[in-house]
Order: sequence, then structure tokens, then C-alpha cells
Amino acid sequence: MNQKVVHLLCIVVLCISLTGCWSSRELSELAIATALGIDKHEDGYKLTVQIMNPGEIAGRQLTTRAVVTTYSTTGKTIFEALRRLTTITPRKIYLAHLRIIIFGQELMEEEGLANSLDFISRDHELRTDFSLAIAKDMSAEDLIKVLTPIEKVPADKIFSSLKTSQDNWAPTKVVMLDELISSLTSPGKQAVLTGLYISGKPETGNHIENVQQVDSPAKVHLDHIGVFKGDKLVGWLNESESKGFNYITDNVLNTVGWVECDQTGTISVEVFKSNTKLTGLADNGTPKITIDVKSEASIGEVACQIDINDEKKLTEIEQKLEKKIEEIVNGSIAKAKEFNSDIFGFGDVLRRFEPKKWETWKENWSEEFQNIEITVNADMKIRRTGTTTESFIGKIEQKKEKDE
Amino acid sequence: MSEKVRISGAQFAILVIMNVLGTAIIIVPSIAASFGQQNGWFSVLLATLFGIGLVFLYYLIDNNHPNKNLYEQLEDLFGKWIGKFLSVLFIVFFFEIAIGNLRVMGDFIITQILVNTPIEVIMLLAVITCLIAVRMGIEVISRTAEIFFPYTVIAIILLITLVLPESEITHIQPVLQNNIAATLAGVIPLLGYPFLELVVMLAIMKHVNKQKAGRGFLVGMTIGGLLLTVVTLMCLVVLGSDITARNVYPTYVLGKKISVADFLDRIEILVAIIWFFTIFFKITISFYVVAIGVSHTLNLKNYKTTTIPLAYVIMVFGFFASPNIISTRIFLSSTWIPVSLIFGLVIPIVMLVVGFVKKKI
Repeated sequence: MNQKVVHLLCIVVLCISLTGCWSSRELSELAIATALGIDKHEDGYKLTVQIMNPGEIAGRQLTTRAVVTTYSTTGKTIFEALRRLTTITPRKIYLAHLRIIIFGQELMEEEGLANSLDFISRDHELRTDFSLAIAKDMSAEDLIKVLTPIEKVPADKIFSSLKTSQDNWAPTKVVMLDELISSLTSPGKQAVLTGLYISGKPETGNHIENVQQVDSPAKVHLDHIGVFKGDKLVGWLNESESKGFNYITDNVLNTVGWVECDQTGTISVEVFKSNTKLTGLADNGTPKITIDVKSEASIGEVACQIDINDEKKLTEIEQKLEKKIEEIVNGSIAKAKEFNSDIFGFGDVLRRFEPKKWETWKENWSEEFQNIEITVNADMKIRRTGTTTESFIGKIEQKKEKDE
Repeated sequence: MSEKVRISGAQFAILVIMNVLGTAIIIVPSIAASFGQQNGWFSVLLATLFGIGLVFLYYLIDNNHPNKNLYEQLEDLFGKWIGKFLSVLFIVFFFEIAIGNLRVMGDFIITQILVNTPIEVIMLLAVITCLIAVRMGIEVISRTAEIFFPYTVIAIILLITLVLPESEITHIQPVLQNNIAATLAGVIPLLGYPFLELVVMLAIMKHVNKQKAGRGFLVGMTIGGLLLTVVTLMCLVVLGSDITARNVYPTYVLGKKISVADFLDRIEILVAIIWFFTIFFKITISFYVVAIGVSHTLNLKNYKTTTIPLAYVIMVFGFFASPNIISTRIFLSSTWIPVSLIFGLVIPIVMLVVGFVKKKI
């Protein structure tokens, strides 16, 4: 009997203590942040946070209020600024569902990335599955304020267009926190981040009318890749250089490329498979890198007179494409050398292939990077021609000639 | 005095695995990577080989004195008073294992999961659970281990297979080319934590069937050490050596990386099951061994007398064990090395030599 009472008591005590509701926070007490913008400010940092308005997303009756709200505040440190937000937000900010963090260009150029990143990697609430980007030529605050059509939450739109663009277009890149920190700390690699900007009329961006019109007056655009040296932004690659960057780092999943035909006109192909292998070599003390790009493509658009049933012609196109990839890659490397920033991680490649030599290069890698010898070998195979073989353009041209 | 109980070889092997993995699985990758960087996994592998060597030492000691636990052996070998003195030292050592692991677990939970919960509450719950297990006796503990073991293994296998798509072999290249000296130096802290702590098994080894004890120990140590190596390797190939070394709990970060088809997401807490089980058994075994040690030294009839007071003491000492998390890390990679070497290696070797000499005479 006595034992039974003791057991019962144990059960009661455990029931009370094991419910795990010590620091429970209900959904209605959370302000779910979807995007975070960090700008430079005279006091330290200016923090802008985009908060979801859950009633507008899942509510039964939708009103005309905006789906997200933004709040801004300043602070000496990011953590302080974030907590100071409680003076203007109704609830405490919950960061676990963050999709994107945007840095203002001014902050990146003048102060650098390192100081703002520590909080992001240290706080337990933040996961590592969000993307990071730069607001090009503008403040992160302005960029976060823009409402977007189709994707109701602007942060979702930015996140998914970064991803879609990387997967189907190639000159942009999704950079996650882990990768960014590894490239910032690695002696043989420099960091990159994709840029974002607003086109059209930025001032209409935060009005609801921005999503009421068929052609939104303000749109968030993805720009190309921003190059860092150390933790400071030093410049931007253009579209083809950004594509070259992704070819070198084996980040091309699918993209479109075009070459000139024999006569006037162009032919475009869809690259549906691309693999890049980097090999490093020490040749008499000079670092040497060989870049092997192996791609497979199918013909996507023929806008000239060419008989693609002829295998020779196909080989010609392949060679032209190979040459173009080599040009793109070399252009990208030339630009990186101009910034003197090893964004491709050639240092890391040499560390893997020539660990002994790397120890001597490591100390002044930015000088050695200038002397690096690059060999690019592109190999392009055209596998398919789409649903048609020879284009009808040839026939039309013939008809034109006859009519004349 | 300890009970008349039997543990099967398989149960003993499972207890050994739990004791190798307990808390070590969350911290070891970070320690290993901070020394050997991308070769950190090799340090763990070498430490495992050392651990397997230890098994033979402990097996020989146990073989010399069948049916006697560590404390009885010490009195047999060194006489009553020196024996008792050494027993007390060993009790302090095992006590430190119990409170250290309790504290590491508490720190982990309040850092990563229950941020606003006071650490006392978490530690109290753990101590109460361990107290119940200890009072049930070693036989029940072993059987519980047998029940929980499959879940632990499934959780580890899930963790390893689900993060496999995220791995990049270039993170650990060049293999064993740079930092060789640091990689070898990285073995040293891993010896003390967790491998030399396995000396605790000497105190319960007498309950295991004689033929099966050695094999169980060997199998347990090998599997435990290899799992530790594989988890460290996964941390390195998925996160890279830099992030592995910088994170306090890299294995948990590894769990956060699981993302299968945007569907199987955010399940890191399931991964945490691995160490909740392993830590539970590690604390329980140390607690139990301390309890039988105290009752043996004081010639008490039943070890259960000491369990409730000990639970209080473990709780309080766990709370005051270290002022902050950094000192825990420093303690593990400095003070703990000579301490564990004395108790895990030096004294057992002396025991073996004295036993050998006494037999000759």
C-alpha cells in the first residue's frame, strides 16, 4: 500500500514537471520574422525586420491590409537593435522561420561582413537554412519594404527567385550561412553574395497598390554576384562573369547559351547537365589550375539557316559553344584577378592537390593568385534537338528568295 | 555489498557502447576538429585503437580476480587500508564523471532547446530518473539499455544517412597530408574523454559471464569508437572542419542539416534522442558505481542506503561543477587528461603488475 502511494506521488510529480511548457510561446505570441535587413548607421547598425501578418495569409476573410509589416530600429550591436525592436513591435520577434538576410551595400563596403555575421551564427533561434544577399546601391531597409505579387510574403519571393534563378539561369547564386562563413575564414577562398535591387519606382514599393497593378511599379530584381575581399565588398561581376563563376565552382544546373550561326542569326542551346573538375598542380613553383567543364546540352532555338541534320554542323556548334564557355570562364577569372580576390577557391584546390606547396603559397596568396596559370578545357556534347529536327526557317527563307 | 546478479555479454557490450558515446558524441567532433582540422576523424580512429588496447588491460585485470569488483580487487591487492584509500580516490573519479556528464547535458539542453528553463530543473529531472534506475539495480539498468539500444542505433543511422547527400568529400581533403602533428596531438584529449573513463566498467564486470565479458567489452568498445569516428567524419564532410571546430555542439548542427525533399525537415530533436539515451546510461552507471563503492568502503549491507544522499550531492555538485561552458571545455582538454590517465591507465597497470607479482610469490 505504502509503495503504491509513493509510486502515485512519483507519477504526479513527473506529470507536472515533464510537460515541457516552461518557456512555451504560443503562435499568437510570436512575431514571425521572414526577412532581416542590416544597414550601416551612425549609431552602429540599423536593423529592419519584415514580419508576417498571419491573418492576411491564412485568415478566412482577407482584408486589404498588407501581408507583411516592417519595423526598423538602430543599435550599437545587432543583438541590441533586435531587442530594442520590442519597443515598437507588439510581440517578441521569432527568428526561426527567417528566409533571407539582406545587407546594405554601404555596410558591406565600409565595415565589412564579419561583425554582423557573428550574432547570426551564435543565436540559437536562427537556423542555417536561410539565404544571404546584398542590397545593391541601396539600403537593405528599402529593399525589404517592397511588396510583391504572386508570392505574398516578399521574403519568400526573394528566396524562391534566388533559387529558381540559380537552378535555371546560372548567373546568380544562393549563399547560405555555413558556406559564407567557411569562405570568409578559409585562407584559400573569398566570399561572394548575390545582389538585389529594386527597379521601377522604389517609392511605390511599400504601398499595397504595388500588388494591385498588373505590372507592379516596383519590382525586386536579382543582380549578379558581388565579390568580397576579406570581409569587404570590392566589386560586382557582370552577367557573363557571374555565369563563368558558377561554371568554375560547378554550380551550373541548367542554363541557356547561344552562339552565332554561319550566317546571320543565332542558335541557342539548353545546358541541362554540367560538371566541372578543378585540378591543381605546382609547376616549378607556379600554381597551375586546370578547369575541365563537361556539359551536355540540347538545341532549344534555331534562329538562322542551318541544317542541324548534318552531324558536321552539329560538331561545329559544339566547338563554338566550347569556345564560348572558355571565354566566359577566362573573363570571369580576369575580373577576379582585377579585384585580386580568389572567389573560386583555387587556393583550396591547391591545398588539396599540393598540400606541401600550399603551405608556402598560403602566406601571400593574393600575390600568388595573380600569377596563377589557368587552363580551361570545355567539352560540350549536344545530345538532342528538341521536338523538331531541321528548322522551318530554312524553308521560309527559300520561299522568300523565290518570291523575290 | 553488491547484489547477486548476472548481465549477459550482449547487455554488457551495449553498456560499453553507451558509455563510449555518452556526451562524447556531441562534443568529440568539435575537440577533434579543433586539433587535427580536416583530419580530426583520424584522431578519433587512433583513440579508438587505443581504447581497444585498454580493453585487453581491463580484461586481464578482471581475469586475475574473477567475481570481484574493482573495490574488492583493490583491497585484495594493496591490503585493507591502501585499498580503501585507492577506492575513495576512484569513487571521486567516478563521481566527477557523473557530475560532469550531468552538467554537459544540462548546458546542452538550455543552450539549444529549452532556453529559458533553469538548468537546475533539467538536471533534477535527470538525476531523479537516474536515481530510480540505480535503485533498481544493475540488472534492470542493463535490460533497459537493451531496450533503448535499437532506438539509439536507428537514430544514429538516420542521422548519418540523411545528411549523406549534403556531404562533400573535398572538405576532408587532402587526407592526412597537413597538420599531422596536430592530428596526433588531438588523440590525447580524446583518450581521457571518453575512452579512459571506461575503467568504470571494471566495477560491474564481475556480474558478466566470464567468457563473455572480454568479448562484450571488445565488441562494445569497437562499435562505440567506430560510431564516434563515423559521426566525426560526417560532421567534417558536411560542415567542414572550421564550422565543426567552432560549434559547441557540432552533432546537433549536423542534425539541423537534415532536409529531405523540403519535406523531412527540422527533425534535429529526434537526433538528440541518441545522446539523451547514452547520457542517461553514462550517468546511471557512474552513479551506480559510486554508490556500490561508498557502501563497500563503509561496509554497508545494502548499497541502496547511499543512493538518495548521493543523488542530492550529485545534483548540487553538478550545478557547481563549472562556472561556465568554456571552463568545461578547457577542463576536458587539460585537467581531465592527467586525471583520467592516472585512474584509467596508471593504476590499472600497477594493479596488473602487483597481481602478477603476488601470483608468482
